[in-house]
Amino acid sequence: MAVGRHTTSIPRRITQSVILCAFLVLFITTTYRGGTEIHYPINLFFQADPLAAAGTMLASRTLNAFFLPVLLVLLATLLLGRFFCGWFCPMGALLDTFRPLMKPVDVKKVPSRNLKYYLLFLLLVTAAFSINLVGIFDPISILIRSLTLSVYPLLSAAAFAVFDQLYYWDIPGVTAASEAVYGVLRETVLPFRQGFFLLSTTSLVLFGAILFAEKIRPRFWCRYLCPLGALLSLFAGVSLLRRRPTGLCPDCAECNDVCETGAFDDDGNFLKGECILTMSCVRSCEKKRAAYTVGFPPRASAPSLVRRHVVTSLVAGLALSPLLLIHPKRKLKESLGIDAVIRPPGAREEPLFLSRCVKCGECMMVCPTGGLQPDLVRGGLEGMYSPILVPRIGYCEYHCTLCGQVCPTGAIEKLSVAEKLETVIGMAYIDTNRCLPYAHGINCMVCEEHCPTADKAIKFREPIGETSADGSQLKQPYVINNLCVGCGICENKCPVGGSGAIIVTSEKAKY
Amino acid sequence: MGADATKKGQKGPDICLHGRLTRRDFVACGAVLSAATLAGGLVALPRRAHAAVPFLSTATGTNYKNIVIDAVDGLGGMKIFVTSGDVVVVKPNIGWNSTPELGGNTHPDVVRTLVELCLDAGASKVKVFDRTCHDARKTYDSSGIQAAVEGLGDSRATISFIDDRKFVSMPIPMGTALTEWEFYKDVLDADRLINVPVAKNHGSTTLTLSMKNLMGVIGGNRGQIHWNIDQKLADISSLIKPNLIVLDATRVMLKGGPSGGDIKNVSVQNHVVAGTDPVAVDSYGATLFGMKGTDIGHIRAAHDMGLGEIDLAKITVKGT
Repeated sequence: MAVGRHTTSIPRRITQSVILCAFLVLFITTTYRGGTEIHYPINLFFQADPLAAAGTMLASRTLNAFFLPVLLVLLATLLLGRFFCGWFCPMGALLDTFRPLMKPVDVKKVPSRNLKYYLLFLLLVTAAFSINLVGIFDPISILIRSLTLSVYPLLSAAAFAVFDQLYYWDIPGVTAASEAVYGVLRETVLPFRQGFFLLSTTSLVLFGAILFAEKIRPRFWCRYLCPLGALLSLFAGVSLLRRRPTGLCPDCAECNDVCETGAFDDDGNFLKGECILTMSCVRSCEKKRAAYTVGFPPRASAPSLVRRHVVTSLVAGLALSPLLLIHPKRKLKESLGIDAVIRPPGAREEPLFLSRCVKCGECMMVCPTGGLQPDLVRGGLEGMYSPILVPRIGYCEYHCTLCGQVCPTGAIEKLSVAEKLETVIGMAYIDTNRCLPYAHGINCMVCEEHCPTADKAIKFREPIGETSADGSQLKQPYVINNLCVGCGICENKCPVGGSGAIIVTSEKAKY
Repeated sequence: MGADATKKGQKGPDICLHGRLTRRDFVACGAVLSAATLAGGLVALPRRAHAAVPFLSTATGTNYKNIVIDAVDGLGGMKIFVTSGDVVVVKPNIGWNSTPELGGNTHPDVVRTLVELCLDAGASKVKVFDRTCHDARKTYDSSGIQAAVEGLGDSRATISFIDDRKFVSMPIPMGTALTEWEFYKDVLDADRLINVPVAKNHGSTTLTLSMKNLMGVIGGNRGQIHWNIDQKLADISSLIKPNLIVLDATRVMLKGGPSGGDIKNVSVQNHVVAGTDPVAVDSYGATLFGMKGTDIGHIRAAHDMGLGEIDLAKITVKGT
């Protein structure tokens, strides 16, 4: 493998840099800095993501105008081939940026490049059964999610640690300068407060694996695994793009070495669906033979899929759907209306919510309290990485509507502030065995103080003749079910250790 | 300011401890109200009788800027409290995601006016902040206080979010329920502290007035303050002693506090009261709710510690 011999053309390098910068800028700006609106959320990238569009619209069986730009991407792909992967995909741009920093390792055995097609089929079949798993494998989702849950919190923790240490050391001259830099960084790239996320290590390992696979083959992820690439590849296969020569020259075969995706089969035939138009072969062809044109009619080039494997992936998809459908949480939802987890405000009813959620983690990125966390298994396998509210970690800010604003697929609906105030996501109950005024006769009232509803959902009784340890009248809080919206600030602020003495569950029943 | 009596370059009322008489202290001592000001100094002093008769200055009107100026003028004007070069902390209530008319936070006009008065009196820096209950980015915005301070366009006046690194542990010599706690460094280091609470009802303390507002300058797990809260609030007030208190009763939340949210529970009183004795200010504040200072646990506790006068009969109140 002559990895070091890839040459990037200047226009492509500029395009990828712009895209990557735009992506990172939008990522950083998908955060709350005051006001009530997020104007430039990173969800814009999903508007050009055919896989997220297909999975979401198939699974939810609704058309979504948000995804209209996807048609342009597909149209352009039909014309030019898989340019998206080579020029516009932020994940691809990131891989191309990192690859030169790594030493390639010589690995002979690699997976079949058909793997990504089989994965795509599996995802689309499950989506047809209203189960949306595309987000788990979609590169845009993976990228935003990995940055949100692990990379960004990790980098910000490192930055905070350095600046905090310099602050505490209070070195004359140095600290003043570091604080000035810190102030600028806080205004720009650092988060308002350190993020803490479940699954951060898992996300980092998976993300790291995608990055380090570049050592094995350039664009390893894109070649073998990416279902978005596979989808575009199917369209690119029938595109008007033509290359000559149509295979490797017998006297040279240099093209296969310089091609980022190795877009030639074992017999040296050019695979149109694998080509991501980096034009490395054209630039490095000393004999000036290689060239690309657009011509009509299209010369189709289908991936040489193994029929048995295609059938296997379709059957796997068919089997996976009922497997997920027989999760007990669905039964509980259907027969008793019981939700397994607390979803963000404005989230559609399960399982419709999951049919739309692409697990990108934008809602978690933007949640001002950090209360929205990725689920692992509580909502079933299909809910992996989908957002749940964990009140002990962070509560739902009463007037905040940010998660619905940044959700790319409408899994969480955009609410007006007035609608949000009426939106019930759960309900609090008091564990009187642990609540201080009940269990220990000590006044506390932190939950009541923080309860944000205009008519407080937590009120207190003053049992006659019962005093707190300090001699004041004992006050015992209780929850008024039909006033509680389940925001979880009570549980979040409860000073009782371990789990709070007031706990919010996903119950929304009104008594 | 603050209780670290060994701090170099400390200004203000520490003369009571060190006998180092600076020119500005000498000038201040000449002022009519210097005794009261010194009594309201920010250093934990041994318990002693209060100087002179506690004096409160009130003002009523729909122009909040004017009534704040009137109330402060009634005490002798801001120059009594702030002199040239002072670093001043103005501590409003910015704790809640609440718009000005709902009365959850100090009114932005009240805050702005006090900051302006400090700047006019020659303050080198005026810092505004609060350790909030709801998300600070929201409360600073919805309260209108961030816009009010930034709108002055004066680089000396800054509003900032709490920096968690700046909490330092301090002993509370007079404290009985709290003998040690974390306090915000900017408050301890400032030359002058102006406490600008808003008057509200409160579940655990019945009312939140000036002493309760100092919860916004302490660190640590504030949930734990809520056990035996009356004595703990008094203990905090025994260490942190504002030089000036302006109680904002322009809109008084009678029910649903401290968070509020229902305009029906807000009584528009267009009233402010200024003073230097926190117990006197809060005792007077209780009357706005039809109560007495002695009805409120933490006001009583503070009075019992000798932190101020609770009996309105012994307090001179002047103004409209």
